[in-house]
Amino acid sequence: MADRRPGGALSTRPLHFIWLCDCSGSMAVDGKIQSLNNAIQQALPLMRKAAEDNPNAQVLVRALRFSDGAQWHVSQPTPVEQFHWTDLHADGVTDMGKALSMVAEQMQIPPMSDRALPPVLVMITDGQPTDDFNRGLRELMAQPWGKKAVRIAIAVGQQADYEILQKFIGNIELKPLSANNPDALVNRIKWVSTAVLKAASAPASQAQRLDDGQRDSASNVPIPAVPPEKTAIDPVNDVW
Amino acid sequence: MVQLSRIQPMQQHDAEWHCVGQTSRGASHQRHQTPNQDAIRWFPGYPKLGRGTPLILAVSDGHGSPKSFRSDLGAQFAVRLAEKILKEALAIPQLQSSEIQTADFDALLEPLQLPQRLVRTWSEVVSRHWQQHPVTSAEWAELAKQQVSRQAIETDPAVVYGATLLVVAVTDWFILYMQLGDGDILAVDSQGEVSRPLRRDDRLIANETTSLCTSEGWREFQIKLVPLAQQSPELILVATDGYANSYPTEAEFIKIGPDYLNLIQQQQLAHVVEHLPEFLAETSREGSGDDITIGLIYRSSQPTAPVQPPEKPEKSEEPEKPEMRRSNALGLTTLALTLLSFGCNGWLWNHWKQTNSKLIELQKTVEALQPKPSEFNQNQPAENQPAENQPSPTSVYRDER
Repeated sequence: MADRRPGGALSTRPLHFIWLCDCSGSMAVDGKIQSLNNAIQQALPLMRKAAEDNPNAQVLVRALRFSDGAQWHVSQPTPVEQFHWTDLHADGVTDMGKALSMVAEQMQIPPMSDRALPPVLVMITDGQPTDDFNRGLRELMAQPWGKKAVRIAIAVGQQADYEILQKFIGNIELKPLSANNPDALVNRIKWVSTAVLKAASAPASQAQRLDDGQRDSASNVPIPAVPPEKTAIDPVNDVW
Repeated sequence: MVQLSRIQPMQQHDAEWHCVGQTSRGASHQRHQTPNQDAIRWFPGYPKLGRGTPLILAVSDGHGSPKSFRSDLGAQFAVRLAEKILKEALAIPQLQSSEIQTADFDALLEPLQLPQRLVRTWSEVVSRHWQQHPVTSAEWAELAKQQVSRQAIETDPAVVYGATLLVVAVTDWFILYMQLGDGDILAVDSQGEVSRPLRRDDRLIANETTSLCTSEGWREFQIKLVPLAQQSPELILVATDGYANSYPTEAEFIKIGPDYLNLIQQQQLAHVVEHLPEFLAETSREGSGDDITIGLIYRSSQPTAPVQPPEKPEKSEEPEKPEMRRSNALGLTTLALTLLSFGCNGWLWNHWKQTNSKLIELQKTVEALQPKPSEFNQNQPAENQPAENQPSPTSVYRDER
């Protein structure tokens, strides 16, 4: 007679993946917002495939838009296999700080579980914050999961504020990813949706001294190599 | 971080303590063809039924990240050293006497400097292993592919072996709990109530853990000495974090406490041991995917049926590293001699001669890696003096990739 397995109900480990999308008016210029919509649409099947490769992680996706204030575009953590993208529209300013504050609320325990995998926060923006970015970042970093999240930034066009994005990333070894044309944006978003997702879902432990309040030079998740990018401006293809 | 309980102790001659355990390679490790990076060991009796006092159970979880590519060995070293060091510590007269009832536990534990000794000895052992087994060019190439900095590894090679360590020791007079890094120690009383002898460390999320490999990692050890009393646990469970991470909540996880206790009481320990591999495999498959290891220390007032380890230990599924073969040297030698006694042919004899000489050489290497003879005397080396007069640690170990 088979015995019942000791313990309660089992569960795979949740991996929260959150898109933070700049929907300010400048994103409407030269089709940036539509390129962003297209890029996420194209990346979704690859993201689902990457998630399938690790059945012990449950990838839950959300999206937050920021322009005049910030709102959840997809508020419920949605299993990636059920996640569908609805196009964003651009208008207004760049309240990035508000977006970080709203994400910070979701990084508390609860609603987050202490058994979760490190969340992945992906910021996509073409400009500079118009509100109190530092306050939002402080609130995010005050949360255990905010501090331990894998934070990736994609700078759309040459007007993006790289210094601000580097502060958001909080890891001097990982730079903001530049995307100066639609193809580059697609490639960046695909990389985040697959390689970064895969790395974050791996259960390997990392030895850390935990008495350091400020972690600013490394990630608790081994970030895979960023695909090479050209360093010079391409006057033909770089439309942003 | 020493915690002391001051419950009036009493010796429990009417109870007998037993220990069993199992480690299971995680579902994700099977998919990626990586070895089980957990280790478990107990004394006496390993890998069969451990019985009587003093009883020592050690569990370790190798980190398994790309830079900790020998953490399976680090975990093996950790449990073997824990057994050795605790055996020596528990043998000192101060811990052998009924006078422990009135002992000042601070005064008793501090001079032993168990955290310092465990971390220092482990560091020495892995350092020797590092020197004797240089990284091959193929290994460096693989590390480069995984974005691991060679310079970072060469600067701090201990991280290559990084592992946690959980130890429970039971004597006639007390139970000693020790923990460095993630993992869980649960105590279950006769009513099935579960408690944690050591507090959960809220900092250990996101796969980050304190470790034997971090500089001055001994400061992060939790230690608690609990005198035996009527309310002492019926069952103590020691598990790596792959177990708890397979449950959505603490409440769902700690049900394993009363469930294992009921199973042992209703079906006997041998029955539980027989089913542990399937319990752990299912838990990893449907849960975290990580390696899972559990050790069970059970207080019994009844005779216990003989317990054998499972017929197909988990290790047999793994591709063995040369280092792992070393620990199997004596077993393989015995097997070879048995086969020879049944009249194997000349080829086998020649093959055995070649293999055996290599294995004996490797076994010597393992013996050379053993820690120094007992250091548990009253004269502590200056370098291991308590932390009060040392500066607060500021160096930070990070993933230097």
